[in-house]
Amino acid sequence: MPLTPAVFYILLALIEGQRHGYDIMRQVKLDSGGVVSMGPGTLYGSIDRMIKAGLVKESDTRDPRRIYYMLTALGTSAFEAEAKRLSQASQIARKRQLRAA
Amino acid sequence: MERTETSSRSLSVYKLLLLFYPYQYIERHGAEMIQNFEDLQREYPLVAVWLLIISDFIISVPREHMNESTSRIACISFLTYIPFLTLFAFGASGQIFGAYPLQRAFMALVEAHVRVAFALIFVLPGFGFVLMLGALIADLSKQKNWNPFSFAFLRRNILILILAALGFGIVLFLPAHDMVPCYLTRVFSEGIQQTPTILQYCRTHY
Repeated sequence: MPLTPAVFYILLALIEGQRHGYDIMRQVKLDSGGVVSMGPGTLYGSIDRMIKAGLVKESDTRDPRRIYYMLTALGTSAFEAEAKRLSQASQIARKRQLRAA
Repeated sequence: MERTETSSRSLSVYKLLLLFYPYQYIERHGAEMIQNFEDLQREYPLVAVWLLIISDFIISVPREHMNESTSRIACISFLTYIPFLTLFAFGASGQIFGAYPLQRAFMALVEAHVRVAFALIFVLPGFGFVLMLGALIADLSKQKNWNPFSFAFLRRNILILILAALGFGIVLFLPAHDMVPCYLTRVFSEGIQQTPTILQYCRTHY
């Protein structure tokens, strides 16, 4: 099933390793070119739902001020499947554009 | 100096906004949300931060409430006040703008079904209030670790209860006021008289 943009960008932010909430917010904004701008309320709500779905988990990093999050095996495979789906869709779109031109 | 003062005032406003989220949500993420807000303030202009926070608040507060059982109960209990508010809106608009066809039709409907109207307008909000009280007490009893957020939410819940009690008080005492349309008074007095009939009806049918 296609992932929502928020979930996809959070997974994308975490693919390189664990991050805390604020770092995820910054990375999402950067990766989406400013299109997806998440506030703290939306971010932690999405993370809660992703933890429930088994895509993300809290890491063991001890920091009294921050909680770090990381991908689970399911999260990694969900991200890879979605990235592959988007890449295929973009290839098809490019081919059709070329043909139309 | 000025920037620090503005930032701390801004942070106080943000802490107040956090009280609109469900308690369990803030207990899990409140400290980090405050930390994130401080980081945002350090990195971006205040206007940009607040534009982000307000749009985030509008989207995330209703969504998080829909995921919490206490909030769902509070919504249901608010719905029990709707018949009374509808009647009051018709009554008040009739008083201000004079009688109009829809208001006359509504009034006739209420007068024709006094027993049902009484149950919907006066008894239902009572159930709603008890329901909300029960949910808040259940929430309180689940509380194990008391922290500044718990106390802030306790104060918020007490305020909600006072407002709900005031609302219910208004439901009960407004019929005695001159400004209230006479049919509301009639529904109340006739409804009271018919309470034994309603109870009898319930006993027979349920």
